[in-house]
Amino acid sequence: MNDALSESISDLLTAVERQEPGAFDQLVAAVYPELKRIAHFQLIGERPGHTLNTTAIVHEAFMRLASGRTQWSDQGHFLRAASKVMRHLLVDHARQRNAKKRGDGARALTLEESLHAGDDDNLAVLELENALEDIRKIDPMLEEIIECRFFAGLSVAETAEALGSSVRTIERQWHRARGYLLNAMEIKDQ
Amino acid sequence: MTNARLIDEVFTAALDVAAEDRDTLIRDRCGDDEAAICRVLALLESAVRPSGLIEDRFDAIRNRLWQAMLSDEPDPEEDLSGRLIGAWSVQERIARGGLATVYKAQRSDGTYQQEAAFKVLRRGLDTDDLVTRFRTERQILSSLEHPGIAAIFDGGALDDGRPYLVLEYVNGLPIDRYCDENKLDTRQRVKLMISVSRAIHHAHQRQVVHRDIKPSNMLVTRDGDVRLLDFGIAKLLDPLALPAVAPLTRVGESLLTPAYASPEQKAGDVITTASDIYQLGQVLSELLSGRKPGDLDAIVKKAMHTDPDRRYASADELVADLERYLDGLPVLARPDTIGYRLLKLNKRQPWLLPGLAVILIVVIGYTVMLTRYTERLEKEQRLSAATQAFLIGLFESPDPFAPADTRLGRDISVVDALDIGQRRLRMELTSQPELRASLLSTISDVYRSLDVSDTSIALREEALPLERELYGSRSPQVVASLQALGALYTERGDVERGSELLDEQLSIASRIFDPDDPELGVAEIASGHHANFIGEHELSRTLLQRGANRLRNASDDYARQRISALIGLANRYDLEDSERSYDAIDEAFKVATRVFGEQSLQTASARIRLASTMTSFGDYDESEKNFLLAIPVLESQLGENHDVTLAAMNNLGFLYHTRGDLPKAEAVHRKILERFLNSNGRYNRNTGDSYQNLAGAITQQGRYDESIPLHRDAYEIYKTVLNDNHYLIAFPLLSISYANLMRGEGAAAELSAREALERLQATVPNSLLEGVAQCLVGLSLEQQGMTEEGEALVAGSHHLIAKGYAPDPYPALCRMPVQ
Repeated sequence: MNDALSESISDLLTAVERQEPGAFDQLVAAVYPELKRIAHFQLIGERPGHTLNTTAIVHEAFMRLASGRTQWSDQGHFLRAASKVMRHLLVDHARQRNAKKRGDGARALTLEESLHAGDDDNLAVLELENALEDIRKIDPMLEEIIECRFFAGLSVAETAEALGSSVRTIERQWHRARGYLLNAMEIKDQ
Repeated sequence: MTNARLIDEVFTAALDVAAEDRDTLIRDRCGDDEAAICRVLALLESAVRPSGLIEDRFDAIRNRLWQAMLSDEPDPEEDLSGRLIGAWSVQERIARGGLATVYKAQRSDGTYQQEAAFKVLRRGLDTDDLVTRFRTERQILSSLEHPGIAAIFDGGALDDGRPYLVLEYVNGLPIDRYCDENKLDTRQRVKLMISVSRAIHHAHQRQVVHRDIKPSNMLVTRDGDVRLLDFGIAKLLDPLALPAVAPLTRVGESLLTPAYASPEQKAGDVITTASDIYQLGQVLSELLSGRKPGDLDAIVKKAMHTDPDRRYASADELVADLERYLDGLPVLARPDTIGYRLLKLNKRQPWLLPGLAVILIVVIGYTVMLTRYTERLEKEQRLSAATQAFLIGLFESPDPFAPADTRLGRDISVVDALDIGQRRLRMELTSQPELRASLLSTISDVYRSLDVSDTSIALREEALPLERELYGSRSPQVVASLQALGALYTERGDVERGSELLDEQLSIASRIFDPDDPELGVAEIASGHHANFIGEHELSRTLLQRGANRLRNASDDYARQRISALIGLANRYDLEDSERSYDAIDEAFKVATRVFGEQSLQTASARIRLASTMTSFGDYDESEKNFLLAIPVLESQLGENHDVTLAAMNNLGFLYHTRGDLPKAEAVHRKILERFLNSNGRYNRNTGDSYQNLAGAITQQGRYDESIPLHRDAYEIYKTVLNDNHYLIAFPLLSISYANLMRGEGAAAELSAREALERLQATVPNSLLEGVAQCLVGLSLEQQGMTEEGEALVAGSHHLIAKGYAPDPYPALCRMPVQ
């Protein structure tokens, strides 16, 4: 990744924060290829029996973007943006797959088995997205916390960093968020 | 304040107080708004559930979805369709994997028509590691040439440096889909796996481990040919084997498909060909899901053993075992118990071991095993004696051609040891032809006793020309080999070849041996058994008699052959001259007792044979005494569940039954059934027989409600394990019909009798059995009031029933005219 691109991502992040129109799509376009590239490498480097570690992808993406760039010391800023991008990508993917499932006939023959996510996964993401609509109305902060924790896989501490809040606050709010979320999604403990 | 806001406030506040104070807080703030209280309590309940569960779940979902997203995300830039690359015109994209995209391609340099698969590394992944891997795949594929492996035609690099491979285009389906869509049966699936395993063996011989064997990498063409694809993460076992290829780094090892990875792959241990064997086992297991007969199950288990050292030593061994399965031979995956091998033998060579020579009492469909024990025991003797001698000779003697083998440190099966010995023999003994010939014969005998007849034949065929050259065609050695080969070919079903060889050995033997040489007797006995088998009864009797006479004064070394001749004679005389039959058995019994002792298998088996003959003479008490003496010997020497033991017990049960001692018969049959269920499981012919026999004993005691379900068990088992046109399926039906008739259920009786009649007319028309079935139909009609029609059927059955010896109570029941 070259410096010019890093710089433009930096600008885009600021623009997204200011909710400038179109900024988000541009951010996705700028961040996704890097995330994807890292993900591919992770797929290659991953030990058998384990799935992709998305959290590590986010961190690696940040490390790459931040390397040698002082204005990228704001890791929290990046984590928050990455969470948004990843949510967008995942929900989009789930919607497509869900639609495809309904409209699709024969499946193409694959030489190398693609790792199929179950329909359940796609539905779970869409269900989460619906629940977030309602939760946002109660408190937008809860939505942001869930976004960080679920879509980027951030820890409580990282979420605190991303949202510029204290760990204690995020812990309390996370309880609250879980309450609404579990309730809305009717996810039963196994 | 809206309700939602109130609820949120109370909920948030409640989270901040101690659990025991929450109730008070909620009541204070919500008052008597029950709905709000419920909602808050529900939220609290969700919020305080053990943390981690939903987080873990979503972590997994997210990670899986990312993987899915990466593998099927459209990437228009990547499309090479329509481009000309090297000699190839790239066409539509046919597959897209994590690393590579595959297109269809056509040769475009005008030399000739050729379809191909064009596989190119995906953009952005052209790191050194991956480029190296592509090169490795190219090099590996170039070293492999096998019809079961998709060939490589070409390879190169795109302008941007990304490497590509041009591979044989395989128009086919992944093996699992192919099997399902064509509804292949178990045998056909096994055959496909044999082809795959052969291809893998080819790779292994070239030091290549595939490491990613899974259904999607095995395509089956419309013609049913299998092609193995994707050596993308294959590994060279020995980097020196292909000097130009660098050993792969860990990166290569991590691309495995988790579901198919072997334990050692998952653990990141050293990968050997054993990992491929594991994966072959895994695929086999999946292809057979839900219908894994015992032997295949054992094969899968051996292939997938967690300890790589205990899997098949090579893909070729797996192939051999699968072929053995297809041929109905014992598979080596099974523990090496004699019982198991005999069990297989029984299935495969019903003429050799007519464990179930069916004597029939139609009323109850009594099936009886009258076993020619001697042949079985001969096998067992050969096994133990020859194996011992061989193993001791090969592995414990300080002999120069049997160096200590590290593999012997652990528990290896007899067959493993033999295979080692056989290989060693082939490699190291070319300079000592006598030793070589004699060892070939010995090992052949051991394989024969293990019932691995193909190998046994191959070794004897190899020994024979050597012996002819060394000792001349007219030599005792050649006679012995001809004898063994003749019996082997006959056992295997090639009777013509068997006859040829046995005739030859007899003619040589009569020229080279003196009339009082016991070896001549042995030759006559071998031909005598064969003559019996091909139905030359007169000749068989003469030869066996002569052979037995010649061995009368021979040393005890010939006792086994003498006993086998006598038992053969007894069987020959069984129906025609029961006195002579009895005399022959009695003599065999005495020889056995003298030479081998009271507690020996030989003696016990002769005793069983003797006891069975006594039963048919009506000498019940003597018969019972002998059974009770012999059975414990069999139990202790062969095991309680051994089918020879159980056959002997069955004959004892038959004795009780014949004697009219039904409670005792019932008790014996109950025990037999229990043991067969233990050793063979439910769906086994012997288990079916046991059900039928037990049920028969109960039917005859008039406990029809109890016996009918057991007869039904027999019926169901027969229908499962026998061909649909097997007459035995009708036996339990006849019994059920009889039992229903006895308890006044005419309609039910008619139903079973009609099915039995239909089956018997189709399989053994115009037989006594058909007559009995027809009589039962008639009787059940009479019982239902259709007197005239019924009587006509009963009367019409008489001429059929008169064809044989109908057991009681049929003659009376069917109102047969008294003779």
